[in-house]
Amino acid sequence: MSTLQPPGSVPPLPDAYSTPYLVCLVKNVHWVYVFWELTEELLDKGHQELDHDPATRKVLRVWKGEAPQRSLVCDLPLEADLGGQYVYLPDPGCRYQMEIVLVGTQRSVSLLTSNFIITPFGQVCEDEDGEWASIDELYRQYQAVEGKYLSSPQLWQLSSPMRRPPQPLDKIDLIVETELVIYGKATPGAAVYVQGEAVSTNPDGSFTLRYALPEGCSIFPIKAISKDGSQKQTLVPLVIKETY
Amino acid sequence: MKQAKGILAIVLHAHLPFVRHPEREKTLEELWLFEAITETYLPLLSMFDRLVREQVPFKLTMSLTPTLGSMLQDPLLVERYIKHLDSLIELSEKELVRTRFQPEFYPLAQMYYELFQNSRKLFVEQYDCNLVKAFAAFQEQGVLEIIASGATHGYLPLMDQEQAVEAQISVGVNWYIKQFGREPKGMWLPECGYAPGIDRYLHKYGIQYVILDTHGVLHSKPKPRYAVFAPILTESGVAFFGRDIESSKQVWSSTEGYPGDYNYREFYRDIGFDLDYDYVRPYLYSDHRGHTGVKYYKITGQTDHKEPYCPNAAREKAAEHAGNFMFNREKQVEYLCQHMDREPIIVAPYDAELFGHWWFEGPQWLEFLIRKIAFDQETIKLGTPGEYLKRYPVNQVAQPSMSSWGYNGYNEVWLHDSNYWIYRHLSQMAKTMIELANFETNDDLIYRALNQAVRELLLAQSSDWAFIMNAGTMTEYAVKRTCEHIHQFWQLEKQIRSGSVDLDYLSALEAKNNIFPDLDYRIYRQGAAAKSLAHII
Repeated sequence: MSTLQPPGSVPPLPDAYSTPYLVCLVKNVHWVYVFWELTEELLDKGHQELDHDPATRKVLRVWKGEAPQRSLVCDLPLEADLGGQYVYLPDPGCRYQMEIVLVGTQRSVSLLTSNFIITPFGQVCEDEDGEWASIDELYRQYQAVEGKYLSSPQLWQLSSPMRRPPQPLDKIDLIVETELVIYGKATPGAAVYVQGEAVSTNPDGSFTLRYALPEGCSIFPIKAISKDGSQKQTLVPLVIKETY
Repeated sequence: MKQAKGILAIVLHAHLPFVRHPEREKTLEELWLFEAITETYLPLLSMFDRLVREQVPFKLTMSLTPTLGSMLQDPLLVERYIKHLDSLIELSEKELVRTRFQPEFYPLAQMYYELFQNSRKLFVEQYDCNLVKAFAAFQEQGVLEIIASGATHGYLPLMDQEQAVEAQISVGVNWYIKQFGREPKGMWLPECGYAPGIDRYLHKYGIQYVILDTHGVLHSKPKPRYAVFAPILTESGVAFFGRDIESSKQVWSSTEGYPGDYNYREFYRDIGFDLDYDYVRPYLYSDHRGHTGVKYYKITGQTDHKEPYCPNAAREKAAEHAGNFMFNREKQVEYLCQHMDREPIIVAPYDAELFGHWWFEGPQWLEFLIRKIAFDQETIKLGTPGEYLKRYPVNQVAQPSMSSWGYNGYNEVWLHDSNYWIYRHLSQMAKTMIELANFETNDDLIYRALNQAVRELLLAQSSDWAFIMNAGTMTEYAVKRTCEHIHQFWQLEKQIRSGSVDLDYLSALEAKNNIFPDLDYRIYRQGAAAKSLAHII
């Protein structure tokens, strides 16, 4: 895995940090993610210790346990001086450490060691506490799912405001709505009523109303009454909506 | 009155990432906050008010993360929220006119008009624009146990530097002490993310308990006597409670859970998507169609055709579901206490935003549940993990398993092909910050730059960004935020080491990323007694 920059990153991130490191992060019961950076200085020092052996190769060494009682799990070939990869660890619930080693013909030199990690156990433990022996009846509901993940796989999708909305279906769909806009103007200061209800007007006497238009015939008596109440006028638009 | 046989501990985790954007007038991200206030936090507070006034006994646990709490108290965001409400009131007034001839929608338009008017009144007049203080008041009254959380909701199991873990915890605890005037009993681990060793820092900062996903406790070593129905203690002395599967599934499950009932309001049918674009445009937060909060349809079924929402039917359904939930908890407790030599505790944690925002009827369901538990039965009572520990201080010692409540139960949501690249940078930033923390300076600008560097690091560590990248929803935003904080950190680091800080640059960052104003960079010192700095923060 050689991608060091995120897609379309803004602003730019350092390609490298010019300092050596090897870090191991646990992903789940069997997998970890390891990332590293080897500097020229560190590599030169290693090669020097191996007398610049031309057959030298770099490996990512996987250790189980802690020295002096650790055991070698595997050596994985390492090409890049700067990179990361996922590593499979066979035994859950164990302590592991990674090491980058320069392996020569006669001997090896350790370049970097990582932090220790402990992989999750992944199942109910068989070890019982002498004074707090478990109660089997309380475990019945979990027996059916033993070996599977007990945290609900659906739950996480609701645990954030950023969940994905439903995706549009791949078919033709047609939705048509109709609205009616009534707009007009009365003498500034006059009161305007639509279907008997007062509507607000702008300072110049204009008004705009927007209605969802139902099927059938809709009648809109619009009445304006002057400020002193002496003058009145009514206009009645009639609208018919039919859908075929 | 008979003694209850078991305890139901409902835990509401209220969190949003720090999404304050003073540089733009309207942002989609700030809308997350506004929606959560209107649809979740105000309805919850309102519900607490009613219950207290009517002397309905209840106890809930709630976490309020520092990022959310800081935004709730930010003057700019408060002002913007009020403007947001005013625009919703204007929209709902227009809707009242527009739907006059639609008897199936007009009552709903009225409902939203009243909701928005009421929200404004509650927020401004009743709670004085300070919801953190409002929640704190309920803690003082003994009905709410508020717990702390990580500073910026950083995902602790993927921090390879112990100092980074400690800083998230210490800043989170100190923020809590400043807000609530007391030490927190419990802490919400971000994403319930735990790895062995984290408990040492929890204990160091006085945390008595945390909550893990089911398998975090169930897979502990040795096997826990009471499964997840009583806590376990680590050797460091922190209690771990495990999430109950049954009560979680009934609410959380996208297929079987209550929120999917066909009578409930459909989240995705919003007038922001349905109506004429020019009409809704002034109320949207981007140039694209989006949510306004005005929704007129119910889920109806597994179909694109949606029926108009009926609040009364939905309310009845919420009552029915609350009754069903309570009935199931009663049966559960009756079974458990046949086999346990102490009261079982059923821990039911949920994201607070589920109630009201995602599940519109959620607060109603919760209120019905609380009332039914108080008056319609005697088998279970509401309680908190803190109270349970007080009642049962002696517990089994065991080592919990690494775990989270994310998909598949471990770290893979936050360590995935979409987001693995961030950890190289976060690791180096933390290492560098530990180094920089040893600086001593009398130069005010250097001091401010060091503090701002910590803020940038803390904000880069928010688990939300990696989550969003994995979810593939607003990936561009999450990537941009992460990159900005990383870049800004390194710019500050360069300036600090050179002894020449750009005042304009620093001031701009301080103004924008203004969380934890009293932060002191020395919290990153190894062995720093950060708790003693509480008087500073």
